[in-house]
Amino acid sequence: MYVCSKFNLMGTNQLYKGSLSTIILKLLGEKGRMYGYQITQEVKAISAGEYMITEGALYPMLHKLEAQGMLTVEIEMTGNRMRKYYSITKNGKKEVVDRMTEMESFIRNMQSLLNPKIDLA
Amino acid sequence: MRNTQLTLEQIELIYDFCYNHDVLEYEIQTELVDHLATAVEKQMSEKPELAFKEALIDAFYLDFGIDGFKEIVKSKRQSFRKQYDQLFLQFLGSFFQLPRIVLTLALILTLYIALHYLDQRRIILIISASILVVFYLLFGMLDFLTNRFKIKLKNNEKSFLIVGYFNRLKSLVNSSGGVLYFVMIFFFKPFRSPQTAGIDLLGSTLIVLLFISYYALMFYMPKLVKQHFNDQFPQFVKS
Repeated sequence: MYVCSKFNLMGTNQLYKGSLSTIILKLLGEKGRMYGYQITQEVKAISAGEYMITEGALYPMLHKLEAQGMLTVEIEMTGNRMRKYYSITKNGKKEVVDRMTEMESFIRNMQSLLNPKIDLA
Repeated sequence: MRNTQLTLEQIELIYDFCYNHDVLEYEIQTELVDHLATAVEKQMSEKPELAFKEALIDAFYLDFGIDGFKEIVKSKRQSFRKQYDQLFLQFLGSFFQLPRIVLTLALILTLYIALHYLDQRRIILIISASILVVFYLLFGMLDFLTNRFKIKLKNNEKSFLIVGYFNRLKSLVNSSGGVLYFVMIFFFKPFRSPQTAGIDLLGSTLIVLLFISYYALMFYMPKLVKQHFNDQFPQFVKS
């Protein structure tokens, strides 16, 4: 519902939805501190419109990661308003390494399951 | 080029807009206001003919859709509570480190010896219950005098998540005090029979652990929550 993709009908939606927290953690790990609007824009830019994180999915996930201690926040004045910046914590960095390893091994396993190499020898 | 930075009045209008869309707490409003303001500024710089109010409505429907802020508000309220519950558990985890573990075990052992071996159970009951009542009254007085579950705000017009959390904390303190009292009465029952070592050990452990939790809820958590609030919104705290 919240993660729109051009592959919606194929069910790819669920795959992206499940990876949302990893995407956010990875992004913050690479870019340093960011605010909500900026995260949405960055995800849109790196995915080149392939899929899009909507605000209705993004903010609940940011709040969840904050509650889990993966992210930390700072609030600062920007122009005439306050802005909330998210940064990744030590626990968050560890989590992103674990998740990336997990994801890589999942992809490897799926590839070998779906494209088995037939040994003719 | 047109200056699209929103004025203070326009920012206040976005706060009102969020409030009118059921975002009542300032902590949640702040983030959504910044999001909408950034989106409005972007739209107004791309389409200079666009009026502020039109740009605001466009940004709202474009980014938040027909469901609006509903899910965001719900999730923030839940995660706010979870965050502090987790900090409470972390405190308990960090509390049980070497010197304190020994002290806790010594307390459990002393209480167990008193429960299991001393004959004067009635005296133990009276002394322990009195100590507890004194503590309970002292804690109650301390709360009344120091307002530890209340944050002094400069502006009472705004509503904060932290106020709701303090109410929850206060009711937890009251109920854990009551639970502690009944556990003590139950395990200190003078004529309870049979007097098994297992039940006495369980009673001693429960009483000591409940007392530590009570201490954490009463002293540690209010200080921590207030500190977080001061760090994030110092402009609202009355000095």
